[in-house]
Amino acid sequence: MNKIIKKTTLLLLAGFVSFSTVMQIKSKPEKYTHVTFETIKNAVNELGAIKQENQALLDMENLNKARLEQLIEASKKGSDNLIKNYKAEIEERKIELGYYDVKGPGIIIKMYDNDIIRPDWYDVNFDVVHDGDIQIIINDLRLAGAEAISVNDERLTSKSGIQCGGPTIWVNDVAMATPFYIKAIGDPNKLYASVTAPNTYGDSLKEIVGLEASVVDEITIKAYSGDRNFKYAKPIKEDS
Amino acid sequence: MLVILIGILIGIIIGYIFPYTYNPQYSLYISVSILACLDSIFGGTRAIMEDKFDTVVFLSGFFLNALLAAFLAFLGEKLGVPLYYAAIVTFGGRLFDNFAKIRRIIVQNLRNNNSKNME
Repeated sequence: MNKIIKKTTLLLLAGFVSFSTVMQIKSKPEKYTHVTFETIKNAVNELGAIKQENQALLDMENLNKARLEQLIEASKKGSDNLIKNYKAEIEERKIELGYYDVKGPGIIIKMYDNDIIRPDWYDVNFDVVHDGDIQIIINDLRLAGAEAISVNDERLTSKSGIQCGGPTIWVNDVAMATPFYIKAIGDPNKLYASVTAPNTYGDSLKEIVGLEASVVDEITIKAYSGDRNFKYAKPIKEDS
Repeated sequence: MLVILIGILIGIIIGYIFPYTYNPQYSLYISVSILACLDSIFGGTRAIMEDKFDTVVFLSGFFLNALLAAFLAFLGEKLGVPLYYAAIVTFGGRLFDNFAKIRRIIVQNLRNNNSKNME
């Protein structure tokens, strides 16, 4: 009796081992690389991000469709209505182009040179805020969805440039010196994160020169005051 | 011995017929566990041949060794050190050990039979 139990146990377990081995072979592990949980988590995150992006694009499509619908409706009711519609849109675009002072929630970033007294041989370039630093910070803010940005109250438009001028920096043909106050209107949390989150440019720049970001409930950003004329670019009009 | 061969054969057949496969995510753990189980099977065979087989010892070793091996693989992944090497080295080494002993016993049996026939 005892012997039968022993043999049955052996039989069952030997069967179990070969069963799981075969299953393992069938799942073809050589086709897969060995991944850690970390990689899987990253892949899942990436997938989530792509899905989110996809959703955003779909939303955008719906929005545009609705807008088209609206225009068609308006055109049916007569040209006055259509003109009104376009005027509203022009106003919106003017905000984007910096024609008006705007206000809203956002952040203010103060960037300033170090005022540490260094020995003569020390390269002063390590202590000053460069045009490139400001460009990258502004780029980060734009990517985080900033709707209006100004540097020391110079509104940035699509024609703006930021250039090095020795100890100063030129923005929109206006020279300015440290400290630089960058104001940005948009989702304050996103904007704040875009310059202070670990591994962002702002976060690493903080170790080298001064950079302080603060969330503000309401800031005012002035309109663009410079030249708006186009000398060379002429629009190509489509005849419809 | 025969029992084990039959068991292995049955397992292979069922495994091929069975329509499901593991999630490849767990393939490392299962591989290491299989090694531990295989070691137990060899150990059990040897114990039967030496007449020292104990069902409880065998069963507990079978499952607990497999679990420990899988746990080592898991822990190693968390710590960033491939700890499952420990399981591979131990069980792999014991596998050969057990196999060597089984071989000796079989050879001894054959020789005894031969000498009986000679007489």
